[in-house]
Amino acid sequence: MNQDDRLMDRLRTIAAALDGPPELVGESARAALSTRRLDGELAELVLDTPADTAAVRSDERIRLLAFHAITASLEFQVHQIGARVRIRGLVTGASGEVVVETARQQRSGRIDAGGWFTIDGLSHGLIRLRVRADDGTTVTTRWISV
Amino acid sequence: MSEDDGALLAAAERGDQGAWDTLVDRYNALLWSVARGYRLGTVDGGDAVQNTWLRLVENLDQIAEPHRLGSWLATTVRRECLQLLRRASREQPAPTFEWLEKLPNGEAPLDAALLLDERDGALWRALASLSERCQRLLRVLMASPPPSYVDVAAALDMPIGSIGSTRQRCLDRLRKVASVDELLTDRAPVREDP
Repeated sequence: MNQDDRLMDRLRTIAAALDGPPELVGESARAALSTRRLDGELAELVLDTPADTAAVRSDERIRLLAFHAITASLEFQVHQIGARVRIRGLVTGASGEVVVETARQQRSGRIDAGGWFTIDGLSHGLIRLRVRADDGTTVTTRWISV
Repeated sequence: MSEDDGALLAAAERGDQGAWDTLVDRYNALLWSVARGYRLGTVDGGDAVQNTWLRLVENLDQIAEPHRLGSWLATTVRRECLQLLRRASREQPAPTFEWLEKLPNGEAPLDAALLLDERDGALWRALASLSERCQRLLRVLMASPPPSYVDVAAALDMPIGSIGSTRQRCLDRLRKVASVDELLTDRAPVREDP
């Protein structure tokens, strides 16, 4: 082992002692396997575009997304004001509820008679949406970063 | 020889938690090191790492080259880091290398003090005087187990051929700043005091 390798090894030991991944990061990583969904259909992303934000506040952003699956389709706006994230959208082809999953929690909202749903109180990060239809079918989107 | 990534991926795809845990043990420190190399703090760094694992779960059956899993993970965590940094730059001042600020005034945290001595502290602090490029490369190389250069290249989006020479220059610089050779040779076998 040359001098550089020895120095690198020393740095590696120090980093492991001072700055290894926090316990929680490892626990969450191991738990991530449970987010695997074997049931239902994976919806395909067909649109992801920033909306015209000329008329809104400087810290306000609106993004439009659409996902299509055979059994149901989802179109929604991701509305960000500062650190707050709200989703409002329209489901076609299914009635029931929409569940928004984040890495840490879930929030759900009923789909109303017109097909609309709103889910508020989210924060930045990865999310995915799942339509849980009254007939038992589910449609899930890919993870998206908001 | 440990089980290869492809076999572990296939097992994890079948729901084998043990295989998944082995992959996490193998790569979690690399992902964390990349996040730290990109100056992410504890919260954002944790998010970047977790997002990467979630994306792997989602793509378990779609990893085209299972033997290059390390590079796939390194590329994914880099993208997650850059995205978090873009967001942070809109919301707050540029982040600092938080990981280098863990030893204020040369005091090691209690748990670390058990493993480290003053010379290690001096070495760690000396890293702060290196260029950002050097700090980032060295921090990624500090992952345990040591990452392959292929994975490091993916993590930092740099040509694999330049990693060895850049590492050498950065370590040379560190030696100059910290008088490392002295620090390392002093460490030699424990001598009995007269």
